[in-house]
Amino acid sequence: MNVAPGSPRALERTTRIVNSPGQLERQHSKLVARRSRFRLLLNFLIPAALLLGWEVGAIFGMIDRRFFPPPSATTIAAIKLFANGSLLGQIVVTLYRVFAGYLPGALIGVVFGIFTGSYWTADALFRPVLTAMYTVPKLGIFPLMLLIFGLGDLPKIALVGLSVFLLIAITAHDAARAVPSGFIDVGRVFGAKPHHRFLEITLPASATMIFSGLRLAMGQAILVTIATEMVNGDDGVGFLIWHSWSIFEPASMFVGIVTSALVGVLSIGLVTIVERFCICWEDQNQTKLAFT
Amino acid sequence: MIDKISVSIRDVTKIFVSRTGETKALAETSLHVREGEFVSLLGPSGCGKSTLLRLLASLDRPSTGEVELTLNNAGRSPVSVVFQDYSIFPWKTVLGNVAFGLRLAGKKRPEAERIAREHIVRMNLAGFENAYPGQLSGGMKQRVSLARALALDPDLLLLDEPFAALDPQMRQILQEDLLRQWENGDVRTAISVTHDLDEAILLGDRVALMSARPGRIKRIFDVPFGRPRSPDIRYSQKFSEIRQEIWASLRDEVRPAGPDAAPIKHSEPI
Repeated sequence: MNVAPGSPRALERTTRIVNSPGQLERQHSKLVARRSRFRLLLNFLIPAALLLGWEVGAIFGMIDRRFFPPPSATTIAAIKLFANGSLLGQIVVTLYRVFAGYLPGALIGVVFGIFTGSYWTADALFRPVLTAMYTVPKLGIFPLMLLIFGLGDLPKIALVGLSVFLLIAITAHDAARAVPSGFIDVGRVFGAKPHHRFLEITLPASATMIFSGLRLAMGQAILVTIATEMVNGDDGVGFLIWHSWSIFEPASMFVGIVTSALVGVLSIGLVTIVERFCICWEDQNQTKLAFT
Repeated sequence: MIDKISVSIRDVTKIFVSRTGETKALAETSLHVREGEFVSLLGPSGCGKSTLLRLLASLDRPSTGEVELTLNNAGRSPVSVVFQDYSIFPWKTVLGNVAFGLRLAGKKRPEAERIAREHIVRMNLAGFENAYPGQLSGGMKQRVSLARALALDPDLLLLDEPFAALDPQMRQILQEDLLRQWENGDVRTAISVTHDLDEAILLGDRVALMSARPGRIKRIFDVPFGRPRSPDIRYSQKFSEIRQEIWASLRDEVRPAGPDAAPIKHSEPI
C-alpha cells in the first residue's frame, strides 16, 4: 500500500492503492532457486565467521593457542585421530549408546504417554511420578544406575533410555490430551476398541507434537551419553573430550566437542527425515524449521 | 453522485504453484466498482472469489494484471476486511478486539475505546465489552468481527463469506444488521464474497457472477431494488425472479466436486 506512514490522510484528496505482480510473481522459479541458495549461505554464515575470527585471532596472537588451538590445529588433530581409527571407533561407541537408549525409551515413552493422556485414571496414577522423575537431574542418578546395572554400557544406555522416556512420555501425554474431542467421538460412534483409538486416532493426531519432542529428546540422549562417558568408562566421544582435557591436549578436546555437535546435528536431522516419512498427510511444502 | 470508480480490477490472474504443479485460480478477470456501491461476488466453491478478495486486500499479489483502488479518504482508513472464520483474537476482550484496528491506525487508547464502544452498541453487543470470545456464540463473534471492521470507518469494506460459518437463522439476522448499517450510510463502498444467493441480492447493488475455476466474471446482474431497502424484499415477486435468473446461470458452474475442486492453499503464491 502506498500510504506513507504518518502522513495526514485528510490533507490528501485520494488514496491510491495499486496491487500488481511483484518480483516473486514475475520470476517465480528463478527467485525460489535464488532464495534457497541464499538460505544455504545464511545457514553457514555464523559458523564460518566464528571459525575465521578464531583462526585470525590465533595468527595475530590475540588468542592463546595453547589453550584455544585454532580451527586449523583442531582439523589436523582430527585428521590424525581419524587416520589411526580411534575417532571413528569413539563415534561408533557413542552412537551405539545413544540409539540403544533412545529407541526403546522413545517407543515406550510414546505408548505410555498416550496411555496416560487418554485415560484420566492413568493420568492421576502416573503423572505425579513422571513429573517428579523428570525434574531430577539425570546425571544425579547415574551412580544409582551404576549400582543397579554394574559397569559397562548398560548403566549408560539405561540412563539415556530413562531420560528419553520421561521427556517423550510427557510430550505424548500433552499431545494426546490436545487431540480434538471430535476425532475421539467419531471413534466412539463407530465402536473403536482401545487399540483402534490408539493406532488410528490418537497416535496420528498427536504425531506432529510427539515429533517435536523426539527432536528435543535426541539432543538430550546425546548430552546424557557424552556426560556419562566423561564420568565413567574409557571410550566414547565423552571420554575423548575428558581424557584430552586431563592430559592437556586441547586440540583433541576440541575434536571431541565438534564431533559431538556434528553427531547431534545429524541425529536430529535423522529424526526430521523420519518425521517427513511418517507424517505424509501434512503439507510437504512447509519446511520444518525446528533445529535443522 | 455514484459515478467515480473506486475499485478497478484489470485483467488479473492468479496462479498457485505447488510441488504437484500449477493451479490457475483466477483467469483474466476485470471488474470495476463505483464509489458508494455494494457489489456481491457470487460463485461456486473454489472459483477464486476469495482469492480475488485477498488481492483487493493486498494480502496476495496478482500473477498478472493489476488491482487499483482509488479511495477518497472520507473514512478513518482505506480498507478493512471481515474474515470468514471471524479471526478475532481469543486473548482479547470484545472491547480489545474492536479497538485493535483503531489503535493500530494511530488512535490513542481512550479514543479507540470510545469509538469501539459505540460500534459494540450498534452491533447489539452492549454488556459484553469485557467478555472474551470464548464465552460468545458464533453469531456474536461475527458481530465482533463486523464491529472491528466497521469501527475503522473504511473507504472500502471487504467481506469474505462473512456469514458462512453461521446457522441460517443467525445468518439472516446478521445480513439484516449489515443491511441496516449500509442503509445508515455507515459503510461506503463494499465488496462481499458469498455463495449465498439471497445474501448477494439482498445486500448488493450488483451481483457479479463468477464461473467455476479458473474463475472469471461470467455475468453481472443489476439488482432491481433501490435504496433504502427493507429485508422484506426477500419475500417479493421481483426477488424470486432475479434469484431464479441468477441461479439459472450459476447452476451451470456448480459441478460435482472432482479432484480439481480441491481447496487452494495460499501458501505458495506465484
